[in-house]
Amino acid sequence: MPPRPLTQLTLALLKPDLAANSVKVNKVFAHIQQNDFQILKHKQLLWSKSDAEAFYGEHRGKFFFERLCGYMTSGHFHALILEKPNAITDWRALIGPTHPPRARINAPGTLRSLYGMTDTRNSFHGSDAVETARNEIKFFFPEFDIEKWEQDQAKNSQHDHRSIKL
Amino acid sequence: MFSVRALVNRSLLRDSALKSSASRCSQFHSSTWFAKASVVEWGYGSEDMTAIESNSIISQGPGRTRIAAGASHRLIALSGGDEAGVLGDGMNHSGQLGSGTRDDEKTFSAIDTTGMEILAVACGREHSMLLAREEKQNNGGSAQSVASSSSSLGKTLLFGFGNSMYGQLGLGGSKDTLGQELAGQAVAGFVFEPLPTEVKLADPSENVVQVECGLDHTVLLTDQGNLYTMGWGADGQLGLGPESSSDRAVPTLVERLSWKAKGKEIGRILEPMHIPHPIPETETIASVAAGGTFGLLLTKTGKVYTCGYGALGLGQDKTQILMPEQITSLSRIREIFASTDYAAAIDDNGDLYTWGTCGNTGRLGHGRFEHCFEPKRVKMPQEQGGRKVVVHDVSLGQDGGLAIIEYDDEK
Repeated sequence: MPPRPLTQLTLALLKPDLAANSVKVNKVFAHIQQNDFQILKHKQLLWSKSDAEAFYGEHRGKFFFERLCGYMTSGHFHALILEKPNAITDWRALIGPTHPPRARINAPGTLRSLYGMTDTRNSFHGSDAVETARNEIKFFFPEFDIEKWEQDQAKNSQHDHRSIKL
Repeated sequence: MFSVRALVNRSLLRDSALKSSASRCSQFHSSTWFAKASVVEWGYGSEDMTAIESNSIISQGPGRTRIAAGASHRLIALSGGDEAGVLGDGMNHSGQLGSGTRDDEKTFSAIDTTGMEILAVACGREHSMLLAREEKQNNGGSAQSVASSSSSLGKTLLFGFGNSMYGQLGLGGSKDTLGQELAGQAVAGFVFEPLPTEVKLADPSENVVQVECGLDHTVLLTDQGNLYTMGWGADGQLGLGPESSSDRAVPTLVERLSWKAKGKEIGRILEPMHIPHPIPETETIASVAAGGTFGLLLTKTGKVYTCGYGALGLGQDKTQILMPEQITSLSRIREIFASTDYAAAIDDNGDLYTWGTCGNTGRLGHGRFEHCFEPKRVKMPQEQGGRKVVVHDVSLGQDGGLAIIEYDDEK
């Protein structure tokens, strides 16, 4: 038997325009589960301006900074920790390209092509790398012990290897 | 003074709305023909069209039915017939149906507008505007609409309801002004108004004559020719000039002087600018429609031009152009409409055409979820049996649309 593949965590956001439509949110949750993601943690938030500016601090001064923060403070949204082998890459592939109107023609079937609204209101976020996923999970879920999760992962994986050798 | 009351589950209106589900198979019998008006709704995740039947739906003239489709809600305003009220259905997350409550989804709630003539309804992403005036009483004392013989509409009343996170209702509140302050830190708050609430201009003698909603901003035109804007301004959508891209929570005058101001930023244009176009000098532009990633121009001779990105109506091979080009498959067009991802046109025959991207919304009204890269005629549910249907008005929301149609019915 091959060793059980290591799973990975990523941070996903279902942004305010999407969160305002309960029918679409339910469809997106079904879509997530059909694609074998485990939803490890889930919470709903409403951001103040300073919350948004803290998360998007690296973009301060860029022309889209104001519109991005204005968008992300425009209503409640969902933050999720998703778990799956290759969660980071797979989730970004599932949500698709940044611009929903282009995705509708070039990447049909992706979540942004189906549920994204506009270039600014692109409805989804996914961490872009292991380190950002870690930081973003800590940002949204400070109560979640990611170190412990990583240790458990490592232990399980060693355990699997041992059992195969025996 | 008027008040607009929300009547959740108002029986008459609800009955007339509920009739719609059975109407397609049950209403076409018997022998006399007469022109009957109906509102048809499509999209919002469904492949089917729904016909909403009521004797109070009026397709033309004063007191005619007004329609507006938003991102995920729609409003149908009835001034004539037996009832005066605004029907609403769809998402109600911010109270955008005006029924006094805020909940996930509603099927046909109603706002009582007895004593008022509804001049316009408009829907944004999650907000709604209602323009009305006092209904004139005739000698007999019964409520009746009076045709406006001049351009003056007299004293009008503007109401807003739904989401006002950006101040798009113009009621003075937004997330920036109403966020609570706790221990020196701003705490986010959700700003909405679930009941139609009157929007006031600084000068009470000035009257709003037209109202239009962007996704999260609102534009007002008054009888003094002034333009007011409110709501989200981060991309310059309020037109307040290059120094101002902040949100406004009250109707804010667009100063004509600021139109001359210089200065642009990459990614946004903060003042109106002249657009060069290749349309011949002999043609006059009759109207324009703005979509999300494209624009439309209609000439006086009924030709339609478009430019931008998307399923533009120019075929699958042409999804991005920088200068307006004619959609040659359309002719004798009398009205054009555009939403974020799709567009529509009515020709002088009363036929409706739509094109654009569809996704899983069904918003093109073609009974399927495929994109349409060229205009295609929309078949109305009342057309069965060769019945002629004339489309009078259309409103396109992000995920679906509404049309006011007229057809010959047997009675």
